[in-house]
Amino acid sequence: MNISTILSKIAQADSEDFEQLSPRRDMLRTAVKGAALTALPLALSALFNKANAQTGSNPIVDALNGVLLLEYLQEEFYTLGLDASIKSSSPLIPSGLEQSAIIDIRNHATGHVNTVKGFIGKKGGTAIDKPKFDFTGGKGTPAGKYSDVFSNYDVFLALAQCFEDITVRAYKNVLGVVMADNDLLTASMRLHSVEARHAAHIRQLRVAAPGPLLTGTLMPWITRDESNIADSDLNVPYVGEDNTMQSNIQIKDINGQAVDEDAASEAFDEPQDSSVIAGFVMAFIIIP
Amino acid sequence: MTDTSNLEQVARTGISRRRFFGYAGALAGAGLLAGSLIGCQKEEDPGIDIGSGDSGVFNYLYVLAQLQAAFYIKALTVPFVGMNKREEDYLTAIRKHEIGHREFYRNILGGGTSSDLEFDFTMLDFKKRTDVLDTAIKFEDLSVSAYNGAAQLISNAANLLTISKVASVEARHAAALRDVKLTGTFADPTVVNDVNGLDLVRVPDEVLAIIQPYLKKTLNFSNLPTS
Repeated sequence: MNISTILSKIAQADSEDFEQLSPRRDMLRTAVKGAALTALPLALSALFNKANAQTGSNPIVDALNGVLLLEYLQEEFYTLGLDASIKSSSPLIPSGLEQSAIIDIRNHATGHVNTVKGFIGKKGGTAIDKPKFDFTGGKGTPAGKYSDVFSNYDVFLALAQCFEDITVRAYKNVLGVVMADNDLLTASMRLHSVEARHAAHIRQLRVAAPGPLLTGTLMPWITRDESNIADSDLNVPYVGEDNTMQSNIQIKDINGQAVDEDAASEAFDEPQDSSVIAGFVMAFIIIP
Repeated sequence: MTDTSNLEQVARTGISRRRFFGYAGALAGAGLLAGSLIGCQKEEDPGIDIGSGDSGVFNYLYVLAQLQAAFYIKALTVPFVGMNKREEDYLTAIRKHEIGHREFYRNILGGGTSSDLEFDFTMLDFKKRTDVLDTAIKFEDLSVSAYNGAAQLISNAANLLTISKVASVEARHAAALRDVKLTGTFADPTVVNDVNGLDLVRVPDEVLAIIQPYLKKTLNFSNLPTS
């Protein structure tokens, strides 16, 4: 099976296909019932670091490389957004509080890249190299749907929201894998909560500068499985967030309390199947 | 005294064994607060024992959810002067979330009719926007730090995933309220390290010291896991 076939299968985000690709999948299962793989598909990691040909043998390193990829993505995304803003006479991101917030978020992403790489090194693994990204979604071709990602603030923010929210979900997959290492587990939680802070702020930026992509009432948290984005391709990071059952306990109207369905879904952020996350981010990565 | 009466109480509320142990079997040990300690008043009050193991950690997080729910319920009963629609909408939603968290923990710890802790907010002027927002932010940041510190105390992977689902929502709350108070402070250096990008973390004892002024009863965290 050649690489482009592997990748198109991953992009379909069909876990059944994934079974065929990765006989080592069972190794990466955690004890968490219903949680999918905690690392990105092996082929994806292997792609970016030929030296890491032993992917699959170290679930912790694989899990960390999975979130490292998302941190690289965010770091690059915000850097390019700032390049199109700072010192520009028609900045993508309005100067002032908007730009300074994105600078803070980008700087945190850099800190996260370095933190995660540090832990990968401590675990004796090899960090994946930063891939080449194409945030138009065109994978290096001019055919990307988001051709105006760095000239249209509305598009930029919609993608930013997706990247932040999906990263929050991705970090939840890491926790069970690394839990035997208290320092790493604690660091992972501390990275994860920052992503959630970022997500809340990006949502506030969208409300403050409403554009055609903004739909419904957008809050700092996720309501049901709503993206509040007028683009169904960007629904992917929200699939499964409408869950209102936690550990067999129904949160809606729990114990007679006035917790409606929206609130019940908002009160808990869900993990997401790693192959679904991979399928989403693959659209923005240029395969060598 | 504690273990037997708690398990008895669980049995009385009719939660099936399967469901109780379905919570990964890790919720052993002392479960409920308050209601389980009738008649246990000693001369030197050691405080209400939060318990040990994963259930002790859940009890600890249950305390925080109770604190926050009580606070937001009060904040919306006595809205601060000048509360705008956005603020009201945020606080209303957050109140619901915290009630949801509170009731979730109540149920997962065995449910039943144990009464909630009582809180003392008399040092706050709920009519003042700054008192309310500052305290809300303080509690949310505190909650974020508590969850981040609690993770390593959990021994069961399912329980860990469960608390992570609440943890990120607390962080959203914190960021949202910080932005309400002053836009752009959602992740400022008082909470997020600007070199490594890591959020706050606190151990249970640190959290206890911060919440004790708001508690009418003493809590005993001495049996919680330490790693």
